[in-house]
Formats: sequence, C-alpha cells, structure tokens
Amino acid sequence: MYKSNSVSKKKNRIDNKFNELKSKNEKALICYVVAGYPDIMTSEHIITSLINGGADIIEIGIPFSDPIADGSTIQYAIQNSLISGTTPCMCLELASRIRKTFPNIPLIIMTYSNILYRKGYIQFAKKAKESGIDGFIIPDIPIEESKEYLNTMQNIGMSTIFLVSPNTSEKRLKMISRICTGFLYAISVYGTTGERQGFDEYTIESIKRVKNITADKIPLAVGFGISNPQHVKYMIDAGADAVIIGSAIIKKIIKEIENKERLLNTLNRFIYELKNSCR
Amino acid sequence: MGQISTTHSISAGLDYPGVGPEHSYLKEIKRVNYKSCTDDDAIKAFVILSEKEGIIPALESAHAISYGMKLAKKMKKSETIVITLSGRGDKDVEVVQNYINGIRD
Repeated sequence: MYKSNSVSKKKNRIDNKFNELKSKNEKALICYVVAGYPDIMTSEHIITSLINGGADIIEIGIPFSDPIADGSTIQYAIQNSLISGTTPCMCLELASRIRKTFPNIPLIIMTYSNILYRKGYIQFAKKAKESGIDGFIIPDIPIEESKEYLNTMQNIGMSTIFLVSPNTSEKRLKMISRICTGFLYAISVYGTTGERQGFDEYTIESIKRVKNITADKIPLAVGFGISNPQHVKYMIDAGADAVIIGSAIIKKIIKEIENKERLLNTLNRFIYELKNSCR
Repeated sequence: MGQISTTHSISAGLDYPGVGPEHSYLKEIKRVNYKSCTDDDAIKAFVILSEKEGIIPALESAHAISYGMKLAKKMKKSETIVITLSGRGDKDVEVVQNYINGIRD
C-alpha cells in the first residue's frame, strides 16, 4: 500500500488503481489524448480502444491556445481541436460519457491554468467532479501560486499532480512531493513533450533521485518522449511506478486519421504491447 | 473560454498577450501609473521626436513619448518630465513608412 500523503484524506480511483496494481506487481500505463482531436466523437472511441488495450489511467487533454509544456505533435493536435471548436465543457461531457462506460478507470484532466482560472477554480472543479474526473495535471501552476488551486481540489477529493524535471532542485522536489497527490509526474528529459530517439544516462539518474525522495509515499510516473515497449521497460527498471504515453499516441492518430477502424485497431494493439512491458 | 486571444500593436515588442509579474505588482501597489495609447498616437510621437530632435525612438518608446506630450500640456513650463527611451527606432522605419503610406499589415 502506498502511504497516503498527509494532505490527501480521501482515497480516489487513482489511489485505488495504484494499490491494486501494486498488489499484482504491475506498473501503471497512463495514456494521454487531446480531447476533440480529430473530433469529440472519435476521442471517445480512441479512449475506449486505449482502455480496452490495457490503459490503466486516462489523461484527457483540454486544448489550450498556449500549451507551453507541449512539443510539436501535441501542439498540432491541440490547434486542430481548437479550430474545430472544442470547448472545455465539451471535454468534460466527453469525460462523463467515458465514466458511464468505465466506472472504475481513473480519469485525469491535463490542461493549463487559464482554463480553470477563467471559469473559477471552484466551479471548474465541481463540474469536473460531476463528470467523473479524479485529478488534475496543470503544468503551469507553480507551487508558490498553487494555494487556492490546492485547497479547492483537495476539498473535493481531487488529486493534484505536479511535475518535476531532471533539474528540479532537491529542496523543491521535497516541497512538491509534500503537496502532490495521486502520483508525482517526473519529466524524463529537458524540454517539452514529444518522441525521442533514446534517453541519456541522466534520465535514469533523475528517476532514481526522485524515487529516493518520494520512496513509497506517492507513486512515481515518468513521461515525455516514451514511445515504445523498450522505453517503458527502461523507465520501469529505473524505478518508475507508471509510464505516461502521449505524443506517440497522437502520432498514430495523425497517421491513421483517414481510416478510423484501422486507427482504433492500431491503438489497441500498440497499448496492449506497451502494457505487456508493465507486467 | 479561457483561451488566450490574439493581440495587435503596431509595435512588435508590445504585440503579445500578457503582463509580467513585476508590472502587475507595481500597478497593484500603486507605485506606477500605467497608461495606454493607440497606434496612431505612437506613430505621431515617433515622427515628432524624429523631426524635432533627430532622435528616432523605438515604437515601444514612442508610446511613452505620446503620453509625455499629453501630460506636458497639463504641466507648468518650469516642471520637468523624464522619458526613458528603451530602444532605437531604425528597426521600425519600414513599419512606420508603411503605416504612413496607408499600407497596414
């Protein structure tokens, strides 16, 4: 069992999932999609095929005009989704439809602070809760500015997932791991999201360094640039409790955009293979 | 809702959505008074300073000059205004020429 972080009182689907996987000696496969790319209906089918393929946790990306943590692949999908008229509200409706089909799968919103701020943290959090969301990843809220966000989310049992990178100082790492709930998101590399050829030694060292501090207080998920079963194995061997796949999924969507049936089969098989490396 | 809108300013250095934290703070503590001016005002100020003083200001700074001239009208002859010219305007001459000729971007 993961020891519950001091700030989180209630357990939600994310905590339950990590405990369940731990008892089976498995690692979590977290899959990211941009809601509304290529369209909301297809997003629903994509998420369904990811879950059926073996995804343990789904990150739903609400498209934002200035996605500063994202590389070119995800930026492309976000821009296209915005052009086709995707709104945050449509994304939450998508979440509630997924929630109806899959009552236990953890659903996380990944987006940027403006989307929440504009509607108001409390209002947005309530609506997300009603839509079956279990947590948030907001890469552009630094911990120093996170008080209102944290209070709002923790009051309603929402996980607040923060990111750390290879150059996050040890002092800051400790501060972040104290307020982070659900899991800690370790960025594998310097830079933005997007596929990489391979990883340098510093990625392994960084994961070990973070793992040393978080220990078993909170699960450690590693993301950015992971695109094949070898990468998954590499991160798990270094100490990751979960891996996050984003751009690699979007790339497959872009490639197979003309043939939806083939796209869904491709994704299903891709995720199945990745999940096999988590066992 | 919540998306960042695109912006417009004749001055490239001001053509972005956002205000830095230092400026936000200075405004909040009322240490600094912030004023705005239009593209037209900035171009007029650009031309006047170039013609009268032989100093070509950056279009960003031309905004300040425009407000300086407005403020001067309300002040006594014996009072002094200091304007910081944050940059030079030779980088902007083409934009200004197009604007004056009526070809806007």
